[in-house]
Amino acid sequence: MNDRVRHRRAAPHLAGLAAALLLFSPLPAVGGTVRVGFVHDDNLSHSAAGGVADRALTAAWSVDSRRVLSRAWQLGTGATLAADDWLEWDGFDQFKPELRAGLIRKFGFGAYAPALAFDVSAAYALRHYEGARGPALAAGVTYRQRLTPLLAWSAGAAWDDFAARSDIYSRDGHGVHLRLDIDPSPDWRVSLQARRRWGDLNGHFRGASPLGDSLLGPQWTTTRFTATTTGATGALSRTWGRATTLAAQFDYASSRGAGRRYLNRITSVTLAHAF
Amino acid sequence: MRFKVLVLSGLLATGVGQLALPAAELSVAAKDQDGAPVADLIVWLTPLDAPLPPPPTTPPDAEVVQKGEEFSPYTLPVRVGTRVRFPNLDDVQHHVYSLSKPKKFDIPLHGGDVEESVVIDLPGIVPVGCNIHDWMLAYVLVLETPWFARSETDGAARLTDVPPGRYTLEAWHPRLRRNVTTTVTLNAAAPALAELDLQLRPDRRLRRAPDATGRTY
Repeated sequence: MNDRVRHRRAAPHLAGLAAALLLFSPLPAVGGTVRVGFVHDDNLSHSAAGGVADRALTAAWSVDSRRVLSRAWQLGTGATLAADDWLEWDGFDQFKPELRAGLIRKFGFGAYAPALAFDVSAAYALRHYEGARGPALAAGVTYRQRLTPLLAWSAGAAWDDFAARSDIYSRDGHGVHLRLDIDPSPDWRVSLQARRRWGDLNGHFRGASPLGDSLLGPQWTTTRFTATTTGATGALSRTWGRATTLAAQFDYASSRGAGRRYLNRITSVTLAHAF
Repeated sequence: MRFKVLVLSGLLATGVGQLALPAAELSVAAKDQDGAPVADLIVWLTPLDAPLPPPPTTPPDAEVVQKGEEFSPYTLPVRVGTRVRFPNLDDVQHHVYSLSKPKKFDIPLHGGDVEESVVIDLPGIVPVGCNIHDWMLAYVLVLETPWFARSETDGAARLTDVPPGRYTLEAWHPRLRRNVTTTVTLNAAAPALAELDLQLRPDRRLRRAPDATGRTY
């Protein structure tokens, strides 16, 4: 059995486990969140040269719950339905249901006690082109600590795997990240994140080939290659009351591998409301 | 802090014998540097010419409820020896704790069917948090005097049933820059009004709203 097949079979099991945890743990604190946004990616095609830019409307509906297992351990479970609608390049449109679970170990009492979070998620990416559909698995561990009311930081490592029906659209990798949250007031937050990822990427370049490209069209060719991505994100967010947040985010990423390099500059605005 | 007593009567010093006289009343109006009313301000009186009355034989009760994943009230004045209950009105568990000097305690993992309480027998500030919901925060201010009040959203607080006499008026708020202390003289003939112009620090409570850039559990 190859890795792709194994991952496709593992996804329903992980999803079932997350659903069982969601259903059978006592006293759930269930909360829902709706996120809508606008994204601009200046290199949607991940091209070293001549890439295409596009804008997307995004929407996601999440239900999350947190349960208390003991004085030190908490269990989080959640589900999300997310959709991206790219305005020009429909091949990248995506609908993605996801289930996830996380264990949080807190070392001490209160908001300033450090915590270690273990997360797993199983999703299924649906796209117009069947070959680009498939299960996506992810796992991660994050250490986080609030130092003062003004400052919190976290660092973590993550692993991801997307097993598309057509291998050319698959990818897997692992990475690390470091994040800093600065809260000058309860209403405002500046978030800074640096990250590095090693693994597969999917890129596209102009030029017809027998393989073709089912996402961008016949004048394009898809490639899958191993690369290192170094990225940085800056976000400014403003909250209104306990439930609403508006965030503007800029993400810069440089991917280098297999003799090529491409950049992504992604700008997004997201409105989140919890209910 | 600027302090002004608009109506003061009974300028004579009072003694212990006056405790049996009809009670006096002090109203407090508090606003911040922007002129906005200050809610959750705790004010209290300590007599200058008489001892504090002995504590009640039965410990008084007070309550900080957990509702909507918030504590209510945000600040609570109590007298030393008060039994403070922490009823959980939510359908989720909370884990109430304090690491303060006057009272260290934690009430682990309780739902609505458990109503734990603690007796706080030392004066001071007792910050209270929830170990599960980091944004939840309340302050219990434990006082030796029985004459105290908390301001409402309009910035007004009333201290009633106070024996006439000279008192130290003090005020506390989690965001207050400097302690407020002044002397007032109260009598039963007319209620007194104290106007407090306070300098408050920025609000440093942790935010609760969702992260728009990522997932939360």
